[in-house]
Amino acid sequence: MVREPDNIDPGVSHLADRVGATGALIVLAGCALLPLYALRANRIVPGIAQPIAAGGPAAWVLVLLAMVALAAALRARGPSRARLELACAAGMIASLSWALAYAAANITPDPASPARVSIGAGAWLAIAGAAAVWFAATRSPMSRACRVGAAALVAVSWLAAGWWGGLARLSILREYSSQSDAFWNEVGTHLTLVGAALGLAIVIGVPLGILASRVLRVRRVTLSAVGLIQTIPSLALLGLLVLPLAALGLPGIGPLPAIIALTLYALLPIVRNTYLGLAQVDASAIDAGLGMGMSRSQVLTRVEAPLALPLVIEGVRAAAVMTIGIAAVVAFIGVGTLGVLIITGLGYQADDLILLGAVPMVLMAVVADALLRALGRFVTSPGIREEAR
Amino acid sequence: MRKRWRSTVTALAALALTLALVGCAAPAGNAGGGASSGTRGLIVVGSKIDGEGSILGQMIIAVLRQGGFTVEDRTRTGATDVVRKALLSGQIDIYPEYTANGLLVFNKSASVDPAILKDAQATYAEAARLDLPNGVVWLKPAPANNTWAVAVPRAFATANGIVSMADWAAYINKGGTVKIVGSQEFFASAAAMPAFEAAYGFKLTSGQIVALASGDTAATEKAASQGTSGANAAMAYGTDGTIAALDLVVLSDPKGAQPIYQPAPTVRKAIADKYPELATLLDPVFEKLTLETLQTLNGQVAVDGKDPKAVATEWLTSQGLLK
Repeated sequence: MVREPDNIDPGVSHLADRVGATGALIVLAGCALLPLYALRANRIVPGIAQPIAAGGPAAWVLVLLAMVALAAALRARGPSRARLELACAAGMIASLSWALAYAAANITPDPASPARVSIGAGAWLAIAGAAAVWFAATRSPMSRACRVGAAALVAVSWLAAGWWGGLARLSILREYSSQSDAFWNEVGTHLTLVGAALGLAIVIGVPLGILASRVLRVRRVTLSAVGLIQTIPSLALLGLLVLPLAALGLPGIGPLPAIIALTLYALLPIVRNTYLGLAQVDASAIDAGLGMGMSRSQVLTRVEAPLALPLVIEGVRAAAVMTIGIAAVVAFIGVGTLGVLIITGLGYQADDLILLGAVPMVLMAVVADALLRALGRFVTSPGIREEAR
Repeated sequence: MRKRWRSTVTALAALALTLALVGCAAPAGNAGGGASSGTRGLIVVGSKIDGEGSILGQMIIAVLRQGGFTVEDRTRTGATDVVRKALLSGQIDIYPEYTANGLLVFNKSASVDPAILKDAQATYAEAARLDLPNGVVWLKPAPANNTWAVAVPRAFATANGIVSMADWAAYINKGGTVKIVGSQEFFASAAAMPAFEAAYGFKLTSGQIVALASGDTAATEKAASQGTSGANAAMAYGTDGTIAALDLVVLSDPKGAQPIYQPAPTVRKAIADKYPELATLLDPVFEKLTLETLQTLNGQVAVDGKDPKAVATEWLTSQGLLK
């Protein structure tokens, strides 16, 4: 049920690694066909593509590593291939940070000028390709030290490039530094809203899910209701909330409708997974509990809850990732959130301001996903975990 | 094993509780707060979500703080309807709005005398008069007209000798190639393009129009500047800071076909009555905001990517309005 990444059969390692090879080819295509960096004379004019050499030695290291990764994916076999691919993937993402930093610092040396260097389409493609190589490598069993080491290399390299390498001169980071106060305010608002909505959805959704697993009529009504809410576009839901709130004398804009809307969206995965989690508990486990003299509520808390918990947390994870995305939309009703940066960026046609709003949202979703996955693994009772193997 | 799940259930309950508490303890909208303490009262400042709205909002904040008020920053509240609703419902106390909107957008019942719309003073006076029953007070407007306009590439203007809307109309009428990018509202609203057409005697065909859903002039101006889909003209606003950076020129409107949109602080009446000094604090600021000043300041934000707050305080300081 809870899938460990190393569950996948590594027995295919005698064949060429097609995923890894494709990833490496994507990196090479990004370097060869699209610009890695683009120079904008100011914030809104379109970027002018810069040659790959503008990134200095690091850009050539990137190309070299992509070739090594390609060769490894096609020719190497066994565990050494995976390690080589992982090293190349980490090296490619790391060298890209220095290429970008070098380009930003050398093309636009004057900090006062509005000219700036943006991350080009080729660089995004290279990151995607390197991520594919990374994924290909980690399908094979590998020591934790290798994985952590690769992740650390990437993190340290980007931070170092930011600190010393001139990465801060890059357009997206200039957008950040010109409004860092507002940025952190919006991040705070974003997290607060998502946290509040998730908390409420758990408090409401888990009891609803429990009820749904007990009473057939409740199940029918609840599951279709939360499913129906999901089909309403988020912007439309915010509009639909105005009337009922006005009838109660409450404002149709601001934090209240925002939290209500986000909570409604978060309900579906939580209610459904609570219900499913309880429904899949083996009847014999419940019988055993009753036979041991447990009361009905003891069976719920001591037998069913621990068996259902991993699925409930899976629901919370899905809700968290979804709400982080939808929270951007509530910027339209005067609440803030990172959506403000996206809307403002669209207004100015300033691509890098849009990215400054979007990239942190992606990172938040990835971190929330990883944390809740880990929590899900942690609460999975050892008995179930054995079964899953 | 029993101990293990009990501890995890407790942990999960604690997590849910924490999340719920965090949500309740810090009402989200206030998270953008940063209220500074002052001796007078609390004033919540909002603004539209665009660059000019942010700059004007930050100016109001800085000046009110200097005047001893505790100010909560809720700028970049939303689009016009959202920020207006926020004011009417008391979620914000003050935000900058454009005078003609007081006649054309907020007062749907009263019919408006077209002569009033051509006169800046009359527009302001009428907006203030019509809005008073709604519980909104209009403070002094800036002498800058952020109205609809048409912008064309500088090279195109020079090559065809076009400086005014009259020249542009003549160019269209003698069969010159034109493709103008604007919002749907710009082409549909009687006060916008149809008003130009009536005043200068020309008529655009559907083939000469690219209508976008959004009203972002950065998008329309960028299209005209780059000639996207053959565009060689764009909907623009008078105080746009992007025009010069994109090498466009704004065509003048000698017949005054467009309503006059001057930015002015709009205040909830309860707050305006309680603090009459708001006018003494803000009037000197808005008095000095000319068209050129706003274009320059908007450009610093939109084109150079400076922080609206920094742009606002720098300008206020340079004018001796902020110490």
